[in-house]
Amino acid sequence: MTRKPGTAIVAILDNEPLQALADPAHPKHRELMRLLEAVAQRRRRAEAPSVIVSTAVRLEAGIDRQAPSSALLGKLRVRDEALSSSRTDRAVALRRAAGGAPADAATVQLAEESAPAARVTVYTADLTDMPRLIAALDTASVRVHRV
Amino acid sequence: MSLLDLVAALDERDSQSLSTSVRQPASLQRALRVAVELGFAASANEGLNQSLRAQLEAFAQRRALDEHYAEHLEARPTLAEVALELARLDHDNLAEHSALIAQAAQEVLTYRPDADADDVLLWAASLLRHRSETSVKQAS
Repeated sequence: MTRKPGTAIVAILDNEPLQALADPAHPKHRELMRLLEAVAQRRRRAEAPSVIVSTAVRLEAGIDRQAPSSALLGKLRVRDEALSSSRTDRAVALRRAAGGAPADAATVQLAEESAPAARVTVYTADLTDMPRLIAALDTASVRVHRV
Repeated sequence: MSLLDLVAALDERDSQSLSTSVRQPASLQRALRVAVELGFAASANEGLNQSLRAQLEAFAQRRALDEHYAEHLEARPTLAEVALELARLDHDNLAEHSALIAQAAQEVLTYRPDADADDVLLWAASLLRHRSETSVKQAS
């Protein structure tokens, strides 16, 4: 496959990957650092890949941005995406159609929203609900990566 | 001042606008005006702000990674691992060829010691193509 220059890249973190990134002692921390290093290297080429997380996932993971232990996320430029009213409505519809936890539906809603203008990869440890939710989307631009 | 002060300022979304007295070379100002005419940005001001933000975001992230590796050396991924991750983010089929990417990372460093993950992917794509061509030639 040939990479199309200028096509945005979006990586979305689910619960466990978010916890793994925030905690250097987590057994999967290094795996997530690969992602952040890849994003940083692509930035050198004047592209700006985004690493985002739904605030619903952050709530589920129990990660407080203001806590000193979570400072790494901000420094690595992992961005919050707030669960607005319209996003919540769409996540509810996705969950009704394909099941899964509320935070899973919020993550997949973000993937769907980003997909028209980007290649989207969802980083997750959940290979049951998350792929089913993504399969419910009408797009081929979203992929799942198991962490 | 620390990296935390930098990221706090970057994350602040509702700050007021301030006029500055940054001295710019006249030629750069002229280049910016022309670039805006050519579609670089909606205005010179917006173009400058976007470019500066992108540079600062990249600087902050690079600095955060380097500080993190200084404290946690074991967290630093190899060039091959970063290239594989980049292929995955690109939705590139090369992501299914981790051994090829590892070979490319090893070879490209002998040619270009400061190679990055994109250099590795280009080398790996070339290896894959030559491998396919060789297979076709051998079959015919």
